[in-house]
Amino acid sequence: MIKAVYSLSAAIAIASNAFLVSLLFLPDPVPVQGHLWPKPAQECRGHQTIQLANNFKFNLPEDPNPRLRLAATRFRKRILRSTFQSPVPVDPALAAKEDRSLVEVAQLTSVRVDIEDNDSSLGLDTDESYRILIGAVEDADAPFEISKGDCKSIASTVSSLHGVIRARTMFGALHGMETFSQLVTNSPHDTTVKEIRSTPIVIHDRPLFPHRGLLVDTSRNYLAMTSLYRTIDAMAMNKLNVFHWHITDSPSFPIELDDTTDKDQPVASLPRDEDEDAGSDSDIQTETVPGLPLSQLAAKGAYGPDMTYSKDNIRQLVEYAMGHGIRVIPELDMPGHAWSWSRAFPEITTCLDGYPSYSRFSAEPPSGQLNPVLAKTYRVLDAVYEQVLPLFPDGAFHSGADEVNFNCWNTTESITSHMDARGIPRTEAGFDKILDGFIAKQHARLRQGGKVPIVWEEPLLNHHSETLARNKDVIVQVWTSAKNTKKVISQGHRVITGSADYWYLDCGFGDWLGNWTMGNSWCDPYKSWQKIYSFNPLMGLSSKEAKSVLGGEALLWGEQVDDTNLDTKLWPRASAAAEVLWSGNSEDSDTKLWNGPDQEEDTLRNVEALTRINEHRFRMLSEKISAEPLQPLWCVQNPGHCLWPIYDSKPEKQAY
Amino acid sequence: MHKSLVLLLAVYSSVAVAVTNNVYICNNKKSKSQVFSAVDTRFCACVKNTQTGFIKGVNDDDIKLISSSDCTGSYQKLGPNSEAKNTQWVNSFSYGKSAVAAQPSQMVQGIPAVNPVNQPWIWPLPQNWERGSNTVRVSKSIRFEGKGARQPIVVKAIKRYQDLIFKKEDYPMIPYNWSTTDNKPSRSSLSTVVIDIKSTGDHLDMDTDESYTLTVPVSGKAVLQAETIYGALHGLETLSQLVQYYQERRSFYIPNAPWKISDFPKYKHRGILLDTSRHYYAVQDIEKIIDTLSWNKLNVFHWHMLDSTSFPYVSKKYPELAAKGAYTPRHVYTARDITNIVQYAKERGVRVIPEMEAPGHSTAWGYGIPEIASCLNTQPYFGYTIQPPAGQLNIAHPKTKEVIYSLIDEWAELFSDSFFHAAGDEVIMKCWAEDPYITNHLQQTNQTLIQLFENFVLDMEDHVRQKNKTVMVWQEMLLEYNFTLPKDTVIQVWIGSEGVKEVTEKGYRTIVSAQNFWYLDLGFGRPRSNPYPEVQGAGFNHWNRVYSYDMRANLTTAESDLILGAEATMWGELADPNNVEDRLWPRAAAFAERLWSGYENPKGEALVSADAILRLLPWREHLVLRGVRAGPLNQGFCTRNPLDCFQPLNPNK
Repeated sequence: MIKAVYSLSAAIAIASNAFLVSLLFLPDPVPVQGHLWPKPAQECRGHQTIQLANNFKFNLPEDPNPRLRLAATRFRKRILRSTFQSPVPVDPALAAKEDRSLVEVAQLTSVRVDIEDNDSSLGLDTDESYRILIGAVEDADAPFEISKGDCKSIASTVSSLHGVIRARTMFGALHGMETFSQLVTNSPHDTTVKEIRSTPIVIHDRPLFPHRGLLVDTSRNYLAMTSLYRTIDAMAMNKLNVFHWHITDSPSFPIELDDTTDKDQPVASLPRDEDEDAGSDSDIQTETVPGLPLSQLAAKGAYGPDMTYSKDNIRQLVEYAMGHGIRVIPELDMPGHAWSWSRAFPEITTCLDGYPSYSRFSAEPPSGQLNPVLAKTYRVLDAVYEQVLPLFPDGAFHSGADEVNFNCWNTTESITSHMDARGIPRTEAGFDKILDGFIAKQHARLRQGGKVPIVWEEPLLNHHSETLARNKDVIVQVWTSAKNTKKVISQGHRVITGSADYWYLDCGFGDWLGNWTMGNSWCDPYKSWQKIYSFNPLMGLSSKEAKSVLGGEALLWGEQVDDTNLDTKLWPRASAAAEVLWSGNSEDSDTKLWNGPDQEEDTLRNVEALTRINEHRFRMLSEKISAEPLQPLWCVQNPGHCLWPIYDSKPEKQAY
Repeated sequence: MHKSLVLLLAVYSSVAVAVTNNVYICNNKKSKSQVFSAVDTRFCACVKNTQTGFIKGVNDDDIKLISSSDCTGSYQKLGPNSEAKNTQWVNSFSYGKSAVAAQPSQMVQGIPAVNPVNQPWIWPLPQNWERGSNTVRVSKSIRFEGKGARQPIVVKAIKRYQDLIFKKEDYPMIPYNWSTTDNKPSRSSLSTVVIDIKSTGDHLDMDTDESYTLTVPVSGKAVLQAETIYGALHGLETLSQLVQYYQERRSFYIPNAPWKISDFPKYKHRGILLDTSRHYYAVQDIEKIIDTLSWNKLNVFHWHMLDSTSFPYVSKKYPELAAKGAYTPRHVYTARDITNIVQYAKERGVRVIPEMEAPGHSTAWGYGIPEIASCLNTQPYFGYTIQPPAGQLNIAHPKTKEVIYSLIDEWAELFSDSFFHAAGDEVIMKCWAEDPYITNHLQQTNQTLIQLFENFVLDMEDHVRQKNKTVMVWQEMLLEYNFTLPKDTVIQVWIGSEGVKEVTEKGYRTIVSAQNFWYLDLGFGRPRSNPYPEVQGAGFNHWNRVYSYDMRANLTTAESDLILGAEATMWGELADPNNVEDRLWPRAAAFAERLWSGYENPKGEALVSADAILRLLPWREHLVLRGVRAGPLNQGFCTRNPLDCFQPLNPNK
């Protein structure tokens, strides 16, 4: 560092002319190059360009967390090996202000990473904020946030060749390193020459929402581990932090589990049918529980022996994600969407149907639900959870509960006779009660494993679940309509947004049933990046209600997705959702979120975002993520020339 | 007991020469039913936990009804073509050919809408085919002999197919073999294919005979006969699709031998349009697309090389056009690139038809030679062009003709095909009407803008004709401007399917690219970023819509005969090499079958999508195996159990 400071003073001596020039300009939030995605909360940029030393490194705190050490190595390699050239040309007006007099002489050799808390547990409460300072020094206890106003308090010229990333946790530091990697640009003539343009730089950044997720479905079509790892990489580049892994559904069951052996268990702890004689003989205290062939779930329910996830696969992916600041929240969908369980355990499932009768029991083939009145169902469920829950250290677990079909249960004799025997009417209300009975047992088991359950919206909004009424900590994920956010909050639950009207990435590709000649996809139209970017998760909520919104997820259901087209369907559209969740979509510095098309001053930021997302798409390409184009390359090369021409009129009003 | 219905169904082949045994089961009320089929084999079906109350056989052999669930133990016989009631006690039954031992039937749920084995796994479906019930092993050292096998283009093709034939997947998504009829392969193996080609030339054109016949006997040599080498290439592709990898035996077989296939295309012009101006494709990217075209028996690569967005062609005479008009110096096509691509395509039976996009969509020309452009990059662009950037050729400037004729001359040499596309689409009059150079010229020459426009394009087309080329143009030339086009002009319809009628009514030959069915780039929102979120809902033409469009709708026979063929288009706003394969395939494969196989087979039976999906699913898997990033048609469950993934006629019942 001493060497760096020395070289800087030399540089300033040499470049005194440039020093004068740069004094003419005030710091600016817009860099010549090194645009960021997602946009940080606050960003101030000067006008001088410096170099990054080719022996550049991150200086970590003493005895760093191993995950942080790995991440620093990873980012260092990525920065130094990158050959990325932005296709977006430099704005001549900004380039005119650029001072390149330091380029030859000023090199940043290191960036110090300071973190306050070396703990590496990642959850909803993790502080992900960070502050970056490049080309200036400040007190270690300087406030995190840039003082209100703007960038005027920041010097416009480089005063030191220090670089610091300060964060409260290592996860904030990861985001800081990602941002730093985007600040570094390659010289157009020689990609081994790395520059940081528009320094000095002060960035303060923190997410708008703590839950910023992506749902990927590995049941409808299998995804190879390499695809999942690549998706984690891409999520980290977009500061997404929740990988919602929809692992099982009706079509396939890809998790490899182990058979359980016979064991004695206390009678009282065993799930049993209510009408089953629990044994009046008080001498029997334990009962031998027969082992369950859980390995058959994947052996018979996966698409093939090479289309499964072993426990080691899962553990490694979870650790990898954690090292990228990403929580993995698994979902085993049930009690609907459970045909795949029937391959190994036909006795605990019901209404297993293909064409044509599946349509009586489910939205898409094959139909099949768990039978909620059999003790065996819960024995299998317990045993599955016993093996699955420890694989995922996260505190949340998605319990499913969407699209439960009561007609299915109403045609299942064991269920109807169970209801008749207890005087439960075979009405909507009666089946609500049966569903709630399932959820009560399921959630109790999840909580026993230390998990807070997440459910889809139906048990709360359609089925009046008493378990949810009693347990307001259950997180509810809205999916049918953005309007439901408010309804969930009014019942006292926290909510995850990202419904089919905005953030379903799988819409618009036509119907996939074999004989439906002109069928459309159920959630037409395709959600363009513009549509995704326009979503305000807090639209129509009071500030008190807004506190219950944890964030949102972009969702890619798997009917028409596999390894061949996963990347192009996810990216860069999920990047649009990522920015909304990280720093909002609005010019409004207070709310950060779009106030809708009908306001006097429309604050949607999507025109500004276009240039950055175009560039970010190419940045992802350079990291081997096959993100698809949003515009002809001409438009990327000519920012501002491919906008909707009638700027003053509103082509299409969005109704909320 | 009213238990849930778990039905097991064998899906097995039916063959022209073999006998199918069917068993129908249903519950007592006959409200649910199920069919089981077996061809020349015997199966055991487990029907435990079903509500089976009634069993009926339509068959030649006995059905054995058994109370155990695995066809073991004592049984009750049900004679040929008879039925039994109150069969709730039956937990399994064996059925099919009585002479062989029963095997467990495949676990496939549901009731087939159509018989999956009505048609062989060949895409596109051949016109005439007969097959048998033997299985022939294919030697990995298979040899190709005969005079035809020594033709240079065929020699190269054989080398490719010696690799393509032997692609294997150990755990395929479609594990059961719908085509298998015989589990005892014949002793002999196929080790020689005789190729017999009548013509010795390698000329490729619209009228090239692409027919072939292929016979694969149970023992001895296979014979591939064709009029031209290009028919032989199609025959090799068909042969490669007959071969299947038997994972359990770790070798390659042709099931259903003997085969007799005689095949030809219904339409001569079967193409894909690729736009390499809005996004650039490297030569290898283009070659990979051409490979995939040939595997689908498509035969035209319509190269939309130039447009407003970039000018990647490096002209010999005007190198400044690419120097300033290409995206970067790397984003270009040299004469050598073009020659290579044309030769590469020819070796795969694919014609390359260049499109000289003019005089609209021409901004990029103006960067290199500004005086030949009008309204060059006018801002704001709206009103001067359909989409940014604005810019058309200056049709009054003498330099414009000089440049464009030179380019036509260069292309006429580089592209050997006898078709040449002279465009003429989407011009905006305001661009010219506000150009003082043009308005002055109109005054001086005392003509209207439309006259100037007509003279320009007709002169340009005449220049193309002088090079002995057939002129193709976009539909506006005829339908919007009603220019006096010679009758030999081929009109490409793109705006909508109704244009097919309008063009053929006027007696012109047509190539159909109706955007409401055969544009493959639509449905992904608009590439312009708008201040307000705006989504174009309509537009995505999914495979079934692509497959089901009948371009002969409302036409007389005489009008239908003017349809030379069709092209599916891949415009470039939202596609580049990263996503183009998923955009194209397997939808362009669905398109390809329509053009090759037609709408009816030679017996007059309609080819319908409900049958096609059962072959398209394995074909998509096969394309992926060959390295094409073709997206999935549906969820894996449906790939594996396609019969379960149909839309019920009455979804609520």
